[in-house]
Order: sequence, then structure tokens, then C-alpha cells
Amino acid sequence: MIKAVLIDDERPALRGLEHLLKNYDEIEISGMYTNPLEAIDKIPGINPGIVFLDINMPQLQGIDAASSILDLCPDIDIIFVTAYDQYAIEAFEIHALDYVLKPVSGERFEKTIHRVMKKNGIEQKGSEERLAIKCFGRFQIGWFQQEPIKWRTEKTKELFAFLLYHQGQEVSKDEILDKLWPEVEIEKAVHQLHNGIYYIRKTLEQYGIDRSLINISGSYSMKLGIVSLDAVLFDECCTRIKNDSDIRELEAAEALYTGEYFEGSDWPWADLERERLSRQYGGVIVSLSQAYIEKKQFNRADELLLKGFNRNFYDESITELLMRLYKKTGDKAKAAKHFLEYTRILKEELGIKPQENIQKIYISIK
Amino acid sequence: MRVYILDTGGSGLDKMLTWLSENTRIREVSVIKSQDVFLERVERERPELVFIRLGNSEITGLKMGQMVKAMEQDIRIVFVSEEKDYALDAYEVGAYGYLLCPIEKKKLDNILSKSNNRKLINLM
Repeated sequence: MIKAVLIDDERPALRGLEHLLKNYDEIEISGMYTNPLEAIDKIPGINPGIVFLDINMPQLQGIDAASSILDLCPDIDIIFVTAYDQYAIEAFEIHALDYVLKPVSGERFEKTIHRVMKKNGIEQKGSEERLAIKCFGRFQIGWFQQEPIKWRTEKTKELFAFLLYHQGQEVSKDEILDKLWPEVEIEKAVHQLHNGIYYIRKTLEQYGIDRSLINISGSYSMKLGIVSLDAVLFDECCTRIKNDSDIRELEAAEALYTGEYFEGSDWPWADLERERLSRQYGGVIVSLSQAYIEKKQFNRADELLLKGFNRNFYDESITELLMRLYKKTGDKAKAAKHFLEYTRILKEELGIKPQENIQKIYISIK
Repeated sequence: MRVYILDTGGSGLDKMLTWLSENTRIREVSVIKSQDVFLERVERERPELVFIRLGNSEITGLKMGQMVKAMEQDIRIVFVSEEKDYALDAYEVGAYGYLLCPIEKKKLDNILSKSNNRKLINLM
């Protein structure tokens, strides 16, 4: 607990500060004074950690009051709260921790308190909620059940995504410049990179995401703390799948893939990873459908296979499985509808006919 | 202590450099002219203290301060300026000090001794 003393010759100003401080459990108000001389008298007995001090007071100017207080207790951190901006230099000279203009906004005050906490080695209460990063579908990052982060520019977002893709590894400056600013003059590109990194850090800070969760350091490497990152969870899930009947893991992997990797973005560097994950997901669909069919959960298998088919018409194994499924269920109408659609697409797009084994299954259903 | 100085132009740093080099607690002083090189070296080498000169373009100087702070909050930033007017902005950035030109040795020493004391306390 940090003890605070408030000094301002105007009582409403003191009440305003008191009100602002109520939001912070870590700070306790140990005295409020309208007369700085009285405050100076009492401060050694109170021994506060911080003093909020007005500058323009009839009895004693704030800067002089601060000097007197520091003579008595040199470890106190002074925070000036004033309507005047011209004393900031003097404030620096006595090493005041902060200098805030009246009227004090809650947002600005938050910054002051953050400095106080940092100085006193107190970690501010972080959110217990989990930070989630979504790479499948539209790229989003944000606290669970809260608005996702808004990026300053599309390029900042791309830079973040790029570092995220390489998380845990060092990426060289040259590689970033080459992939993200391929046609930009080198000097300009370096400048934009620095700006981009700065805006990422600033944005993360704004959203209360501290370095234990996402840290960008050195020659550009991103380290993640306890963060839920869907692409990584998906990969982990896939490696845990030992055989095709491991329904639980298969279902978990299927649920994580909510769309293409960085869907809707035009980032060429992500193409390979997108294809890899997409193929991986195709495999999950096939395995999970087979598992459903084995367990005679035909509706689920049907639904999943059709979803897979709409995602990628050309995956033969999906159509083959659909045909096998309809043969098992004896659903001739569905079999005909699917076979005809598949045949039409193959003809229109590729000018070919369905594979012989698929045709055979279809004929055997008819 | 390692001290980096971003000096994008203007005069009056010579004396400061002499005083800094006379200070036995300072292991290294580097003067860097380019903003991008400065940012890269601060990023890599994490000096304890940086001086940023607010020259003709105060906006970029202050922005440099913000960028350093965003990089590592523990790096102490001291702005050096001919003008008083940016001291309040310096507080917004979270600066550690603000020196007016021409720089007085007493005020520079004040900043150096203070930042050294803090360092000792942190170590203990």
C-alpha cells in the first residue's frame, strides 16, 4: 500500500483527486491539506510515498513546497497537479515524478499511477482474462469477449502478423524489409519498420497487453506468454492425433479452424503457411468423417463432408467418402445430387470426369 | 553506465560530452546522428541513459522518446533543448530529465548522480 498526501488550496480540486484515487486499491490517502505549510508540518509524521501538489497556492508556491518536502523526506515522489504549464522545467530539476495539467482526465491519471506503481515495483493488477489471437479467418487479437484490437494501419497489422508467424524465432531486418516492403527504398523502408514496431508496442500497451504476454525484442523476435493462438493450438492438436479414431482431438482441431489462415489478407509471405494449414485441415475433415461413419454418426459425417466439399471441390477423398456414406445410408437422392454437381464442376473447371472408383460407387448406389 | 546521445544537429553538445567523459561511472558514451541507427542500437544494446536533442524538429525528438519508452520503459530519457516549451511534453513521454541549453554542469551532474543512486537502490 502506498500512502498519499494531497495538497491544493482549493477544496474541490482535492475532492477531484480523491475521487480519481478511489479507483486504485494500491494507494491510500493519508492526508488532504488546503494549506501547504500545515502539510509540510505533518508530512514527516505521515511518511507518505507520494505527494500530489498544486503549484499556485497563496501560502507557498508548489515548487518551494516540494523542495521543503524533499528536504524533510528525500524519498517522496512529487506529482504536480496544476493549471499552469510553465513550471515543468523546475519540476524536472527537483525530479518530480509527474506533472499533470488540470483538469485531470482519468486516462492521464492512469498514466501517472502507472508510473507510481512502476517506481514502487508494484505490478498493476492485470486482467485475469485470456488474450486470444485468431489467425484462422479474419486476423484478430483481443481480450476474451472484448472488442478486438484496432490497428493503426494495414501495414502495422501485417508486420504484427509477420512477427507472429515467426514467433519464437529471430527474424532479420533484411528479411522483414524484403517481405513487407519489397518495392520501397531501403531508407524509407527501415523508417517504416521502426514506426511499425513502435505502433505495435503502443497499441499493445493501450490494450493492456504487457510484455509477459507479447514481447518484441532484439533484432525482431516475438515471444508469447500465456496467450491462446489458434494456429498453434491447431498444430498441437494435430500432432496429438495418433489415429483416425481419436474423435475428441479431431473435433477440437476441426473447431479451431474457423477459416483460411489470415483470410482476406493479401500477404504473399503467408501463402505457404496458408496452404500447409489448409491441407492439414483437409486431412482432419477426412479423418473425422471416417470416424463418424465408423461410429454410425452419419448426419455429422454428411454435414462435415459437405463443409469440406464447399471449401475445396477438388478434394477427391471427400467426394469418395460422401459416396461411401450415401451407399451406407442408402440415400440415393443425395448421392445423385452430389455426384452430378461434382461432375459438373470437374467438367466446367478442369474439363475432366470423376475418377473411376467414384463413378463405380455411384453406379453401385443407383 | 552506458549513455547514448541522439544528436540530429545543432551545437552545444561538446561541453556536455567532455563532462560525460569525465564522469567515472560512465562506461561508454556514443553520439549517434541518425534516428534509425539510434533506435537500432538502443534496441540491441539497451543503454541505461539516453539524451535526445530536441533540435529543429521537436516533434520527431519527442516521438523518438516515445519510441524508446515503448521499447523499454526502464531506459532513462533526458531531453536537451533550447526551448522551455517542451518540458510538459517531456513529462507526457515519461522523460527522466530535461536540460536547457546552454547546459550547466551542475544540472547535468544532478541528473547523473540521481540516476546512479536509483540504480544502486534497484540493485540492493
